[in-house]
Order: sequence, then C-alpha cells, then structure tokens
Amino acid sequence: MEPEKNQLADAVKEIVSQALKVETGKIRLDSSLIKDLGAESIDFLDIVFRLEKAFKIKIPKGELFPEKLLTDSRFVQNGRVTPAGLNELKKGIPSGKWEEFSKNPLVANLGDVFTVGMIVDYLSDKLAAAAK
Amino acid sequence: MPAFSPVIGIDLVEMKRARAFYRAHPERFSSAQDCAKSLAADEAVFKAYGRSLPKNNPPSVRFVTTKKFVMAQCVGIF
Repeated sequence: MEPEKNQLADAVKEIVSQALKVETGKIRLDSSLIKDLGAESIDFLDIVFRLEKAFKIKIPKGELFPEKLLTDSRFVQNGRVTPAGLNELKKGIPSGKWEEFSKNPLVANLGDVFTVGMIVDYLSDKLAAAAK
Repeated sequence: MPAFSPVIGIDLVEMKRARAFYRAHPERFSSAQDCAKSLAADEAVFKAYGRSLPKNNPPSVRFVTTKKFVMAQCVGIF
C-alpha cells in the first residue's frame, strides 16, 4: 500500500475505533464492520458523519453504506440479494469482493463485504476525485 | 367512528444510544431527543416504504417518547 493510503487507513481505523468503541489494534483492513467489529445500522451513520467531519467531505446517503438497499423488496427477496440488487451494490461499492459474494448472495453474508478496507478504498477514490 | 391509521413501519431508538450519538455530532441535531426522533423516523419510514421518500411528499410519523426510548411509527401518507 502506498504511503498516502497507509495514512488514510490509519485515519479510518481511528475513526472506526471511536465510533465502534473498539481498540485500533484490533482493527484490520479486512475486518468486517458487522461480523468482527459489531457495527449496527446506527453505527454506519456515525461513521459517515465522522468521516465527513474529518475529511471535510459530503457523503451522500447510501453512497458508502448502501444498507438501506437491503430492506428494499426490489433488491432483496427471501434473504437473498437479487441480480438487480447485486448490480446496485456493485455500483455503490465497486471495490467490494462481489465475485465471492455472488456465489451465494445471502444478505447474511454481506457483512463480509462491508470492511474497513472498503471505507479506505472509497475515501481514496473520493478524495482523489475531489482533488482533480 | 375515529379514523383508523394503520402503522406500517416502526423503529425504536434507545435514549442512551441517542445521547452518545448526539454527543458525537451535536452540530447535526438540536438535542438528544431530536437525534433519537430523526434516527427512528428515518428507519420507520424506510421500513414502511422500502426507500426514502421525496421531501415534498412526506409520510406521517408519530412518536412515543419515554425516558428510555423514542419509538417512531410511520402511519402512511394522508
């Protein structure tokens, strides 16, 4: 990982640590926010607000964590993400590990995709775009 | 006979949680209870309609507040 992204990763870990009350030492880039760090839906909003404040950016609703999509009947049926839902998720989180997820697209498995590294990738792209 | 307003979406936010959230983001809400209401209403509306609604067509949300929690009930558009 390049130095700038390393700094970004450290900043994101610190923010996640504050929001979820988890020691930074226990947070890795591949830590799942839900499964490993115990995040709930309110925590996603907390993290978004903290990121906006720290990086002075605006994160539109649903852009970083499309968690609301998961209660949309167009995109989730019988506990599984539909092909339309998967397309929406891929659009929202292009850096997600969708190939693995699409083999068994259970909503319960989505926790694996929402990782600390996903936030770092998202921010890296967002900040790079803003700098142009 | 009173009008019947079916509750079609509901959410509950603990005040303890809302207070912590408000402490972290005081610039976004006027009080911890306002924070709890906003969070609960947003979720209740989403549970009712499956997506966020345009601001010019707001749903009706009513609240039940106690010392320990705020409950939002989305009762539809009238």
